[in-house]
Amino acid sequence: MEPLEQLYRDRYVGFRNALAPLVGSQDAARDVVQEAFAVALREQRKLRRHSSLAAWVWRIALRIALRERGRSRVDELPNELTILDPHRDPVLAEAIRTLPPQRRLVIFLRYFADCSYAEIAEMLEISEGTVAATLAQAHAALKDNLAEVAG
Amino acid sequence: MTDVLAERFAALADQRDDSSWLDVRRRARVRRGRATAAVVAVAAVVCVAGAYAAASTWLFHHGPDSIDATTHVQFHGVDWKIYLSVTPDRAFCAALTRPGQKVKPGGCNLWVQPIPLFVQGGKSFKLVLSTPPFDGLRYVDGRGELWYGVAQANITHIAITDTSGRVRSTATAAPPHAGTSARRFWALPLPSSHAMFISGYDAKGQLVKRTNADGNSVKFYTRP
Repeated sequence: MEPLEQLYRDRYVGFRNALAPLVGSQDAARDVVQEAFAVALREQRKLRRHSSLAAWVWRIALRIALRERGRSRVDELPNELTILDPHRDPVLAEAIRTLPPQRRLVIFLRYFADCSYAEIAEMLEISEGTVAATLAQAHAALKDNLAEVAG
Repeated sequence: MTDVLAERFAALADQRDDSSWLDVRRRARVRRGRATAAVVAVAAVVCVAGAYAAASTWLFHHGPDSIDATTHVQFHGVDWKIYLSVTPDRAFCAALTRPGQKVKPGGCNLWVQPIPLFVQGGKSFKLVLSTPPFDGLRYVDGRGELWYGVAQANITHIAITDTSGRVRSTATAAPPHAGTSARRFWALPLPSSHAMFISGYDAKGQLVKRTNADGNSVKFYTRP
């Protein structure tokens, strides 16, 4: 099996779930992932030797997802971006909203796509330290929100 | 130490695996085809996917308030007759019949979609109605689906991707001498599968719109 197909089989569900909050539904996210892998399949020769395949495909998918939302840059993500159905876990939804919108992708990649810190850093072109700090901030916000709800 | 975030995300994650590598490959081929010869893109998809194009013949009638179109489609060995009618208020209705049976309603759809129009610097919006590039209805039986619908003048082909990633396509038909604003009509049987995506292509083979078969603009189905 080709590496790209293997990646697709390993990461399809995770990528779809991580992109769903951006594009508003699982169906739309599916379409984005399918299109991203199609682009990757077509343009495999453009993959730079030092890039990881997963990071490269993710960046293609993110570009398509942003375009679907009428945006071209990750720092144009809307303030209200959070999990897909906020009513299912309003405390978590609020905790995510405490992060800058572009940092919320760190959370989605970590917990929906099960990506490592190093992978997330490469996918989002940030440092591993930023990944760790973002996750720590999300944990703290969730803890505060839970304490507020309990109190 | 338990990761509370991980636990909460795990409870929310959709574990359904609706992946289709076949669909990825098909999409990749479609774009390649477009880059070299846009006009044959739709045909390429059909050939690669081992699908077939339904060649429908349509008869048209211009009524006082509507354009009516009729065609015959073979579906599960039965000759189905499909009537479609589009009215000026952008509704389209369908009726189906087969030999020895009464005409049955095939559903009606208001062929419009609400588009949010943002005003006052994006702080508020109102909904305006727009006509999507195409719309469709389907008759579902136990084994497959019979699709029929309308399209705007620039949509010359409709392609349906089924849940296995196979693609079937058909040309849309316009009334003769109807000009560039004509509504076009289409019908497409899926004998043994169910639709996942519906795509509308223009005469150059460019994708105009792709929609989920259960999505916003193609969402009704009926059992006549």
